[in-house]
Amino acid sequence: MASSLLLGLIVWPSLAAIVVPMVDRRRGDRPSLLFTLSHLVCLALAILTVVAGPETAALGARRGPWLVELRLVQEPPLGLALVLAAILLLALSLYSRGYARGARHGTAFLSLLFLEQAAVNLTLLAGDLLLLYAGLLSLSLALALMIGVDFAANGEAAALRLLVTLEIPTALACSGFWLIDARVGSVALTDLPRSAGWLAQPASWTLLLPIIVALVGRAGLAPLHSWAVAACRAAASPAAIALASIALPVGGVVVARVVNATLPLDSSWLHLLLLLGAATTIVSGIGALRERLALGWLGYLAVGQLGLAVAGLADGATPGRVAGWLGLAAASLTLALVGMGLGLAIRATGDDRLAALSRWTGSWRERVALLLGLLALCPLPPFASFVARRLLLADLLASPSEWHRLAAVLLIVGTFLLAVSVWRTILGLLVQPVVDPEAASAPATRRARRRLLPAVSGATEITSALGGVAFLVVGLGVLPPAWLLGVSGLAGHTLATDTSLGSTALALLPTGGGMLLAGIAARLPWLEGPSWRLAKLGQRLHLGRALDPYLLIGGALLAMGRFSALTLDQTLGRLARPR
Amino acid sequence: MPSEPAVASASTFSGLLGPIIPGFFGVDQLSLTFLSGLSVLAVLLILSAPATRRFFAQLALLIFFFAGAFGVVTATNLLTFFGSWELGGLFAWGIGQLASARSRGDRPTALPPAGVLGSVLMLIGFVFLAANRHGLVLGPAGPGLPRVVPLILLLAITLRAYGLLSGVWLSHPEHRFNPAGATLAGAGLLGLVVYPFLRLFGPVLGSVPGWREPVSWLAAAVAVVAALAALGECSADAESEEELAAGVRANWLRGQATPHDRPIVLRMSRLAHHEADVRRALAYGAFSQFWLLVLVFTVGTPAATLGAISGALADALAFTGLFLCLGVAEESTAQAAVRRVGGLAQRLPLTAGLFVGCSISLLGVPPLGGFTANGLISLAIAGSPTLALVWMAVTGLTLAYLARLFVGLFLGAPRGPIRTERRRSILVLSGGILTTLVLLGTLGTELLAQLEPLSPVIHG
Repeated sequence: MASSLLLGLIVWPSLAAIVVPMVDRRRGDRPSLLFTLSHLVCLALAILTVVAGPETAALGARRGPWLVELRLVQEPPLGLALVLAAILLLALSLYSRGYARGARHGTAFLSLLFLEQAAVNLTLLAGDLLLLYAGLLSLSLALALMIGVDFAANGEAAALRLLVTLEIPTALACSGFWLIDARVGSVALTDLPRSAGWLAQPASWTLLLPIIVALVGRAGLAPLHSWAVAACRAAASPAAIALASIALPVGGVVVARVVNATLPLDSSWLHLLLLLGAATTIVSGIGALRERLALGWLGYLAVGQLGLAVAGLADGATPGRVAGWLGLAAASLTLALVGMGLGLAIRATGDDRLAALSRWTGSWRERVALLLGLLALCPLPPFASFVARRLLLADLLASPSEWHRLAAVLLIVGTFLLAVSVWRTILGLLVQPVVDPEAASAPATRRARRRLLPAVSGATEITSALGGVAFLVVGLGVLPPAWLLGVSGLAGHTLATDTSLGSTALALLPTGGGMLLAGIAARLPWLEGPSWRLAKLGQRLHLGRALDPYLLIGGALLAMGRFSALTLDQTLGRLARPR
Repeated sequence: MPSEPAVASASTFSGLLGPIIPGFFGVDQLSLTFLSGLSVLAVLLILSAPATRRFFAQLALLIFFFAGAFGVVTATNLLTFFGSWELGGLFAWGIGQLASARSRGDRPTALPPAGVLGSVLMLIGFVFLAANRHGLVLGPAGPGLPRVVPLILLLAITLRAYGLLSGVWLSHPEHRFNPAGATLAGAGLLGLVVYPFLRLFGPVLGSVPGWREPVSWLAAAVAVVAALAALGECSADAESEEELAAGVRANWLRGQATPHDRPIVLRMSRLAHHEADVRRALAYGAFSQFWLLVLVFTVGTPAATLGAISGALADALAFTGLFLCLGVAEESTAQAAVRRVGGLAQRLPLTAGLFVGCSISLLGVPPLGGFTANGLISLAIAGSPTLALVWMAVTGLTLAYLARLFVGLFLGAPRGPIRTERRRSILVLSGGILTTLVLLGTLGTELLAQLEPLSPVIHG
């Protein structure tokens, strides 16, 4: 029964992606409730799977000596992730139904959400590395289609960037999976810790490097973070939310599954991931301060939250891992809430710049929901993201390792920068508009979309989606993390009781500092001028482009490709042309 | 996951094996496998013929082409092998000519030198083989065969492969749907290139020493270079690159831009001056996959042989599907250059789905055909870090050019008018190709059990 549920979690959304739009096409201009009902079935399946307990299902065939087998596995933290993903996709479907009513590609987008659901479920349930690859590839395809579905030129570039940055390292990693399979006879996640100990040897770095690069790209860690920001900038609001609040956290879950439980990684790889996670918070903090587009800003926030979560997951100790998992769940919910709020503001003002938030006159429910999400992102107590930050910082600073302390310092700086950026937006939303010297002169890039899509402020679906996610954001902060993640014994007791004043003050320090600086800057508008000029200077120097692996490696490969094409054409091509 | 074969199992198709015309044509396990693959492709391509403008001419050419290909696959005699090979090549050229002809009265162009030279080299190689065996039977070469013969035969096969693929990118002035690319890059490569390679370098030259290592290095180099060329071909075309490069230079002179303003490729783009063509890009991709299979085959283990065979079948189906997609795209937009096409998923959703399905089969994702092949290939090359690196590089580059083609063709802003697709025809073709790929992937163990007795046959 439980194994049928596991299969159902993949088959149902895949079928729904094809059948529901076909049925819906006959109904008229507005997406029907069938979409919502199908997401409810997905949620019910996920809940039933969790209730049924840990389960493994093997799909395979044997003929003589030949055996082909693929495994699905459901374990405790992954079950909760399944439920959370189903809830978020249901909320996003409701939100998009209200948001995209009457839009040309609204139905196509809603069916792509099913495809994303199937891909997420496959990724979370994959019991071996090859199914994990299949899930991740499907997820990338679903995202690329969502971004490109409005058929805009910038969507094309962003989709290509997403596919290339994520999928080339993953394809190389997949070749590595096959080679691991050839050597140890299995790529089941449960077998590898026992059978693939040789991967920890330095000679195996050629196999491990693509896997680590793929994981870094999936989780949006620097320097492979810009695909996420570019995709959020180019996408419509619901697609940006799907990317920031679901796809990126799923990348974090994959890091947790592969790094902690599957591959016996050398400690130097873990230190690398820890430092990359910490450095990502700083990069994203600076990026968020420079960013002008609301959805690009959301992308930077998502990348920053993932950096924090991955730092926790790579920490190695139980509190760090709990902080990582909790950070992923909290990031997922808060980013969805913030994204939905930003989407409504963009629709209402017809302007996709962050500065336009001050002109937003949405209903109090929508504004409160957005504010709640932003406060959780700061982070402030009692939200779960604050608890995760407190646990992580306390654990890193208590560690004797110099690398851990360095990461803690980087995380404090990153949290400070992110807090400045978030608080600046909160002040812009509530009190005073953000000063943007070019705001008045530059045309809004999406003004045209306003004419196509009427404002939907107050629609029942949107209010339900916002309310549901806001309830979960608060609920996650109230529930004890040890209970939530099923951590028991001494570690669970420590987590339940560790609310010491020192660790709380430490976690509050960067957030409070950021709030203070943003508040002072809001009172002193002349500070904003130099900061914009600094941002422009950075853009003029092309610092981002000079360090962007996508442009550097991609450009070099394309140049080699043109040279190869020319060489082949000159050597063999002459023989192939008729005289 | 597939593991190395331990015991041989009896083939359930053994009743189909045996001579057809004794001394001239016959069927063994290798022939039967390729015959099955070619039959599926023949059905699919003939089904697509009604969508072309000249149905009867297309049908006749396809029938004669497949007759040649079936002849090659079943030939047991040097003469029948060479005759069928020539027949298949001639009708492949005809299919390319039919696609590129503007009207009925157009005179065909001359035969390409690559094909002619390939035929001459193959004939020379066969003369040596006949002299070595003192007969015309296509059997294992004996001692004393000159060491240059394997290289002559390999060059002949390479030239035939390039000749076939160059027919793919002949210009189509009418921009009508035609299955030329799918026929030449799918069935053409499978029947006239991959099978002759496996037959000649397996049972015939398997015991001849000295060719494996040089062929292996050559295959590794060409596989990577051709995959790179495919990526380079599907980038922006020369004209737009020239414009952008000129823009960068102008900005640089005015002090408004830095060298990082454009990717490096734009400053090196003057190396190439022909317009980027999606068919040419995919043809280089097919060429790269062929050489990857050659590389795998040179390892010489049973897993390598079975990997090369199952990989050839899966690749042929996948490239047939991909070229059919390009045919549909060209008909809908009347364009073949990458930069003049875009946003096709809006009007051609089924075609986009077929493109994605075939692409992920090439990458070896379960449950499609490439999955089984990749398992065997990994078994074959696991012992050699160099081969593993080449395999990884080709896989990465394959994904890069397929992603670039998919995004360029199907996403983004539509450039110009797009006609809607003929849904019923595309549904039949997509269904046929994807179902066969799924069957290849899901019934992988069954296929391997049937193919297992092949390995000793091929390697003597």
